[in-house]
Amino acid sequence: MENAIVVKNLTKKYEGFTLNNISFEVPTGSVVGFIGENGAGKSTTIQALLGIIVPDGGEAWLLGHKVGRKEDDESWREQVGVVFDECNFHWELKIRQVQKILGDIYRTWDDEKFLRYAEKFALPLDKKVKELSKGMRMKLSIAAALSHDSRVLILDEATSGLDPVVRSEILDIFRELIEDGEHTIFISSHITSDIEKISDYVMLIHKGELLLSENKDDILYNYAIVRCTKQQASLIPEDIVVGREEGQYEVSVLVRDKRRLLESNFKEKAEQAGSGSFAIDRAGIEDVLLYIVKAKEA
Amino acid sequence: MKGLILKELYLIKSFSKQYVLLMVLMGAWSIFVHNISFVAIYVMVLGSSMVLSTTTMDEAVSFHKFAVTMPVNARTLVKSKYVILFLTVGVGELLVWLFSVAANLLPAGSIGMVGIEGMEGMIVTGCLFLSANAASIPVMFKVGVTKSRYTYLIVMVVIGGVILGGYKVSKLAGLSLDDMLSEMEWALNLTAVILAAVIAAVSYFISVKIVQKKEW
Repeated sequence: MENAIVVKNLTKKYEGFTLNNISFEVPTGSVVGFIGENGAGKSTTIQALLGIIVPDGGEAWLLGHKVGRKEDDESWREQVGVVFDECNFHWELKIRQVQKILGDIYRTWDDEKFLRYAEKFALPLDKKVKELSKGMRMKLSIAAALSHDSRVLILDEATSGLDPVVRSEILDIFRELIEDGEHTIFISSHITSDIEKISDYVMLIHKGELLLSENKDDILYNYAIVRCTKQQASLIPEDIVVGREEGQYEVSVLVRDKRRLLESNFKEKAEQAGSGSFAIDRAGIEDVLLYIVKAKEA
Repeated sequence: MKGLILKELYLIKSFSKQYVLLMVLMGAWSIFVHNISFVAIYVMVLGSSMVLSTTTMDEAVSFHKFAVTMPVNARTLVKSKYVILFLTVGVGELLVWLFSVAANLLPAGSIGMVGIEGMEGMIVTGCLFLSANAASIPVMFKVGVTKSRYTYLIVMVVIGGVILGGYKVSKLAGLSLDDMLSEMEWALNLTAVILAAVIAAVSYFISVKIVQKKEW
C-alpha cells in the first residue's frame, strides 16, 4: 500500500515551542486521527505538511510530491482538499461567488458535485458567507474541499466548535468518501470521540513530540485501564504500564497489552492479594491520551 | 489566476457602493468649488488603494494561508494583486478623463474648472499613485496591510515633498516650474510611465521572493 502522506524528521522551532523531529506515514485509503491538547503541535505539523510554514528541518511529501514553496507546478494540489478550523472564504462573498472563484482556480472543480453538497448541507447559494452560522460556514469549507479531485483531505480542527449533530453529519460524509479506498483523510482534533468514530490510525502529539502512532482498533483492543489497590497495581508487569493515576485508596493504571496482563496471571495474583476488588476496563482514545500525557508530564 | 482576479473583483464590488456614493459627493463638491481636481485626486487615491482594501479582507479570513494549499503558486498569488493595481489605476485614469470630458461639455463658465487641457498631468499623477502603491505591496506581503498603509503614506509624503521642494527651488531661481514642466510634458509623461513600470517590476519581484518564503 503506497503512502499518501510521508513526513520525515519534521522540525520547527518557535520561542517556547519546538516541533521535534516528527516522522510518520499515512497509507492511502486510511483515516488518520491526529490528537493532542491545544498547543501540542497539531496545527504546526499540518501547516508544515501543507507548506504554509517552512520547517527548520525535515521533509514532507503529499501524494508523492515533496512539499515546498518554490515550485511553479502546483497542479498536484488539485488532489489535496484542506479545511481549517475557520472558514477562509471572504465574509462579503456569496456562496455562488465562492463557487465561481474556486471553479476558476481548480482545474478539476466539479460544479455539479458542489451543488450536490450544497443541497445536502442546505447551503443557500445566494447568501453571503457572513450570514451563515459557524456550522454552515464549516459545511461550506468541507463542500469546497470535496468538490475538486481531492484524493487527500486534510482537516485541522475542522469539527471543533460544531454541535454534535453537525459533527455526526460531517463524519458520515467522510465515511462515505473513504469507502472507495482511494481517498485518504488526515484529521486533527481534540475531540477524541470523533477520532474514535472515524479513524483507522491514531497519532498522539504532545509538546511537539509524537508519543503514539498506532492502529485504532489495536489501541481499543490492547489497551486497558486496571482499577485496583496500590498493592494490586504492583503486580502489573512494569513493561506494559503506560501511565497511572493514583487516588487515596485506588490506583488506575493504563496498560498497553491486555493479553499480556492476563497471561501474567494478574487476576489470580490480585485476588490472592485480597486487598480489595479490582476491574479491568476498556480504554478509550481519550483515556489513552490523558494517561500518556500525564505520564509524560510526571 | 483567473479565479484570484475574480475574487478581487467580487471583493471590490462588495464595497463599491459606498465608494461610488463618495465619488458622487466629491463630484458635487468639485462643481461647487469649481475645481475638478478634488474628484480627480479622490478617484486616483481610491483606485490605487483597492489592492490594500482587498488584502485587508484577505487578512481578515486568512485567505493567503488557504491559498497556499490551492494549486496556486507564489508568483500567481502576487501577480493577481499587481494586475488589480494596474486595472484599478487604469480605471481611475479613465474615470478622471470622463469627468474632465463631462466638465468640458457643461456650458462655458458654469464650472470654470480644469478641463481636458488641464488633465495632462493625470498621467504623471496616475504613475505616482501606482508607484507609491507598488512600493507598499512588498511591505504588505511582508508585514501586513496596516504597515503597508504607512509605507504608502510615507512614499506619498516624500513625493509631495519633492514636488513642493521643486516649486520652492524654481521660485527662488526665478523660474516657473509649471512652465518648465508643460514645455517637456511628453518627456515627463514618458519618464513617469517608465519609472512606474520599473518600480512596479522591481516591487513584483521582491513580492514574489517574500511570498515564496512567507509563513502565513
